[in-house]
Amino acid sequence: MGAHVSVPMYRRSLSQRLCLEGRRCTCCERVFFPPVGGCRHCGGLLEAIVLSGRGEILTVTWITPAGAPPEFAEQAYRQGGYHVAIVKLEEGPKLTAQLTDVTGTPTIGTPVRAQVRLLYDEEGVLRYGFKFSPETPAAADNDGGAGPPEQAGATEGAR
Amino acid sequence: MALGIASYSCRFPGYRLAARELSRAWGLVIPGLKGKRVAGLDEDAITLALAAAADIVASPVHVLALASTSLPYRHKAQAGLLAQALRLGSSPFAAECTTSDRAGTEALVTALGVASSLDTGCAEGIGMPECVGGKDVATCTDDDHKVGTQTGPGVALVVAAEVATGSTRAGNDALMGAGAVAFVFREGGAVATIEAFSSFVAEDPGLDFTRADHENRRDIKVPDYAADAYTGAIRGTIGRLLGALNRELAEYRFVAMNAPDPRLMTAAARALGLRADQWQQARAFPETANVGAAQPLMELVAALDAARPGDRILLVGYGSGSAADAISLVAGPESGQGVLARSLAAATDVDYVAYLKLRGEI
Repeated sequence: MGAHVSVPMYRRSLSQRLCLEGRRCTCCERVFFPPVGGCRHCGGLLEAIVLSGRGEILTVTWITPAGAPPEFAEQAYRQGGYHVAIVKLEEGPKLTAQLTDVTGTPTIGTPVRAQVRLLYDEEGVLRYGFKFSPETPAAADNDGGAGPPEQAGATEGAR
Repeated sequence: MALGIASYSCRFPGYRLAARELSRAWGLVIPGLKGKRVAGLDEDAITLALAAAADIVASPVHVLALASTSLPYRHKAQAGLLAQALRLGSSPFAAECTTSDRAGTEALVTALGVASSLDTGCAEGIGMPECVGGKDVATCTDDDHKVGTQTGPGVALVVAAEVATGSTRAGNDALMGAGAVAFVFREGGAVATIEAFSSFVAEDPGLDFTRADHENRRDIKVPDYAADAYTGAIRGTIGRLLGALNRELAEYRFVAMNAPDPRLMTAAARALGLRADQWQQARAFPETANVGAAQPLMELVAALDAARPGDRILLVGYGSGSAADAISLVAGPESGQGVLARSLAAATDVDYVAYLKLRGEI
């Protein structure tokens, strides 16, 4: 059974999916992704934070066409399968995502960086979101003012 | 115009098809082409545009211009996804140019025109009915407008991106590649300054077109007609610009052009009397093939990477059917950043069968 994400749900979660917007506790500084309502650690108030997208693989597996949910069935069929990893972001939170642009064998500890990619098509609406790709020296070099967008204007961007 | 290029970047999919694979599959030899990039299954013009823009985006941005002939929707405003992902807020003027390979320079000229007309320090600038600081227009003050230190003309982000679509057997598909390029323009941009532009528009039906109700690019394949139309458009727009600036073509170190077919560019270069070093060095095409609406700006990246401060660059964007823009630039102290080579460094070579799978043919 797939995970149906309605268009309103997708739209409301775009800042997470496209910008990796999480929450940071103003008291204990713990970071949460996806965003939550209040600090699970100390109960403090949270502020918005855009995560860097950098992290490392905690664990990784390969999903075959037989194991893929409907949203990714076609992708799995055309590619032969896809990697799914649990990634620990450098700010602390762990999340599950596909890997993309994989060369070589991703393994525990491989440094990765978030990329926005086309996930699937449902109800005629294209769904975009993050995947992770292994860091290459070339990608790290491209970091002149690069990586995630500047945080100035973060309050304007939040809907 | 006081606007100049402040930064630039490009991004390509990781998959690369070497030119020898086209030779093996079709017996094709395309002059000058070494290889091209192919979008992965989870990539499209939007994801590539976003990746290129994210490398250089700054805040604030007042104008966002997106150019592509392969956006995933034919009818939907799509710049909003870029604006949201780049956290630009909801106020930028977003232009989407989509109907020919000239869309890249069309987006550039449009963005510069709108950005130049803004006075970001003042809520009365044209097209800026809201306060840039997010306050109520009726009561905002100059202090509210000091977002960063920007006053005067607005900041423009121009992004062009393309993926190849349709059948691999159609039209000039062998020439079509995937990639994206982004520029930030602001007052005093130190990569290059923009001097002037001129344009050309004419009706030339039958050349390199895709009907709205069909999927594949077509061409009526009359070479003399194609050459006539292309050379006429290039000469028309360049001639007008040089006349206005009272300048000779020989004064330009680089002439960065795009063409639906390399042979058209060769013929036009000969007709214009260009020296080989003006248009055959510092090219993106050998490694990118034709990235459609992004091609003119990609060739500009190649020229900027090779330029020394003070070099004049003439950028020409051509779209079949036809329309063209010529833009005169002068390289500044921050040109020569080696952006194209760096962005092409990582590549995974695929063979023609894998290419067909990536393109959805098998």
